[in-house]
Amino acid sequence: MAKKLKVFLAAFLAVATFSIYQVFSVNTVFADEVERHPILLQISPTKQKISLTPGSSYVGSFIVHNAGTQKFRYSVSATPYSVKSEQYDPNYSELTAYAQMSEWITFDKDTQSGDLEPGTMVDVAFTVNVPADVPAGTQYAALMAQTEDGNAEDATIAVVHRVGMILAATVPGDTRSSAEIVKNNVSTFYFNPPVTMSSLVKNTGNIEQTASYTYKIYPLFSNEAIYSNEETPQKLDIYPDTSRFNSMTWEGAPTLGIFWMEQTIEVADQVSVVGKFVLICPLWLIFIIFALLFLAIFWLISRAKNRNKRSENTHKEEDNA
Amino acid sequence: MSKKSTKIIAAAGVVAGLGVAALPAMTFATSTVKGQVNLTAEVNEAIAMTIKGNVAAEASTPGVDVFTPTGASTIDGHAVGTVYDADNLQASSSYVSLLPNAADTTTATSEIKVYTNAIGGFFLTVEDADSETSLVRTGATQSGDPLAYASTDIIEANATITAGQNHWAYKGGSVTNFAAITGTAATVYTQSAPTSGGATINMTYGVSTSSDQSTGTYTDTIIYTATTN
Repeated sequence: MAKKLKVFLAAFLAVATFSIYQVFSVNTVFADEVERHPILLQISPTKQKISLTPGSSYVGSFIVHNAGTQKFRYSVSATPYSVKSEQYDPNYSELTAYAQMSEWITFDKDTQSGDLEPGTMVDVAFTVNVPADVPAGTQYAALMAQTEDGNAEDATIAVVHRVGMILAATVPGDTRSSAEIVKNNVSTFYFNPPVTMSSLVKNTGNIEQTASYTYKIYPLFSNEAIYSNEETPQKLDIYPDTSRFNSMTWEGAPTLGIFWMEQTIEVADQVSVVGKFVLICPLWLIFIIFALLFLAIFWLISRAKNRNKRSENTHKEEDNA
Repeated sequence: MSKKSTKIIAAAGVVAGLGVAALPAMTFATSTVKGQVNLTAEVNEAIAMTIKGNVAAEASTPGVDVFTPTGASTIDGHAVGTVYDADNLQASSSYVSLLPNAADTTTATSEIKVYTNAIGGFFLTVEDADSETSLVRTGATQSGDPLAYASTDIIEANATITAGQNHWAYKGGSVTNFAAITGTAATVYTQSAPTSGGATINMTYGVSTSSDQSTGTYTDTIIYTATTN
């Protein structure tokens, strides 16, 4: 009995110890190791939309943050901002009709450059001095924060880190709000994924527009969408006098199937809805289907010919008889 | 069962019983006042960038001598190879060493990492920091009319990297073939969604030298810019 008791107590002790360990283990959370960088230059926000009045000044600010582990020296500047293709590749050097604003921007002397210790940030103030004769419409500039630190003395390629905030300013007056949905494409056939829906939207006015894109995908015999962003449509800014190409890729599309795919685009007072049945079928399967079809046709024709021959032979025998 | 065993079991039972009984007693023993505090954290959109070259000087132990990497004697005025008070000393710049009449298309690299929570993602572009797009030998001077560097003192921006020609170029991201740098921004990567763990873009620089390339250190400065899409 003493032996049994010892065994019981030993087991109880083991269970108790394990339980206590589990309690403390569950309550202990080990965070994933975070990658730290010596120089990590951050700017916030990434875009600001403001209103300007001709002949007046606007004062704003943005944050430059040293999110790295090493001190660095930063400076700020304003550059033109425009886009140079339907893919909206940025251009930071050309002064276009809608990218004059960088010429009107000055920075607070105390914060336009300086040293930033790791983990610290600075609120950089800027002023937009708006000319009295500025035309109505939207103007753009990129407010940049950069650092040239971190380069070795004998570098072959020395690099400058630069991050930018897009500043979009609307000047009231003779503004035109108009846009055109040039293309709304849903292809009907794919050999294999990826499956995409694409579009081209043109801003025909002189103020920025925001286009909204809603995508829905249904299986062939169901009203329940297997994909929909109806609750949070994709939104893209369309700049004046530009056309913007956009495409949505259906991630995880199957390799075979028939689906209903629908794309709705809304911009200014324009709405375009295109929905189509889309067939996804691999090329090898198409070959097999056509091959089987060809064999079937060939067999039918052969069979018909054989029947005709037999019929002719029968008639000949009857005639001879 | 022996008397001793019985006593032990009884004692254990009493202890367990007391422990269970103590739980509600502990609850009623203290008065609690509950209040509700709403904690709100607002996170704004931001975009961040870091660049790591192929010249790294990482200290195995903070505060201990850093390593001496090839091609770097100082980084930001800090002499490599001496005690430094940071976790590591990482050069953002890239470096390659060549003989005349040679070409290298793999050594000099940049690893660029962009972080953003902007819904539309970001664009990453590259451009030269000034109108001089060649790698220029340190100490070289311009002469003639118009002023220009001697051809042996520069390595020109050119997409063709071939031994015997003094050319340099870049590629990486969406730029699959070597391209010559210019003074205007060229897109090297686009992402249409926020990053997850950062987006890493690897760039490679090709450099080739002429047969009579002057000895020395050749440098050019380029700008990587990240903005929201």
